[in-house]
Amino acid sequence: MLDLERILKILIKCKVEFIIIGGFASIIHGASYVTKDLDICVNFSTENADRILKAITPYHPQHRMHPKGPPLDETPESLSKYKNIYLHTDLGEVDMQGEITGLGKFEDLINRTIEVELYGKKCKVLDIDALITTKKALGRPKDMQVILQLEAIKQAIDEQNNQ
Amino acid sequence: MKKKNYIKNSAWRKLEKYGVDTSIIRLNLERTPHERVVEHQKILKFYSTLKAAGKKYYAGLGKNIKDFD
Repeated sequence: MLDLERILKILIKCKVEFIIIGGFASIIHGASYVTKDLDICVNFSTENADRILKAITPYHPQHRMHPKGPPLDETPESLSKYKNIYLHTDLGEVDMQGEITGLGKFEDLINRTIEVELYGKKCKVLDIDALITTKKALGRPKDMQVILQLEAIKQAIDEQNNQ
Repeated sequence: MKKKNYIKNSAWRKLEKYGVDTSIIRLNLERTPHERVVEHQKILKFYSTLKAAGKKYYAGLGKNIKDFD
């Protein structure tokens, strides 16, 4: 099972630059949704790739999408060439994306985040408008319900702010 | 946020028409982001317990559980 608390604390301790996206971002905004993996947008710079490796290597990361699940065996330089990486670790499944459909790369997203406190640590989460934008851009049938949820939540927030 | 605000809101009507139980979302909105995540993790733990029980049951029947996930 995904140990979200430990994953987040390790990423923060190792100073990994990341933004929570996907299912967990939807949950944080209030959607009713269940997911067993953590999706994050990361900066795939060599420096951040080095921090990523330091954070996750002790937890035996393996390529999840590969049929044989080979271990992640990269240097910061080689990892920085990735666009996306889907991992199984001892702490659960972690998907890292360097670019988000409809929004752009990590540096384009940094101003489209909110900061929330999770397990006593401040984490960046994709804001609700950006989350709706990317889910619509993906055009996946499985996202339809969560898009409707997020739109309803957004309207409720807007109404509250206008009161 | 009161319930009546959700009902008159078109986005919430659309969601209800889609068949979504909006009471859980309303409850979530009363929680902090951290509380929402903690609740999710409890559900995930329950899901894991159910999955393990299902695997055990089918293993006892000698069924192939390769695709149980």
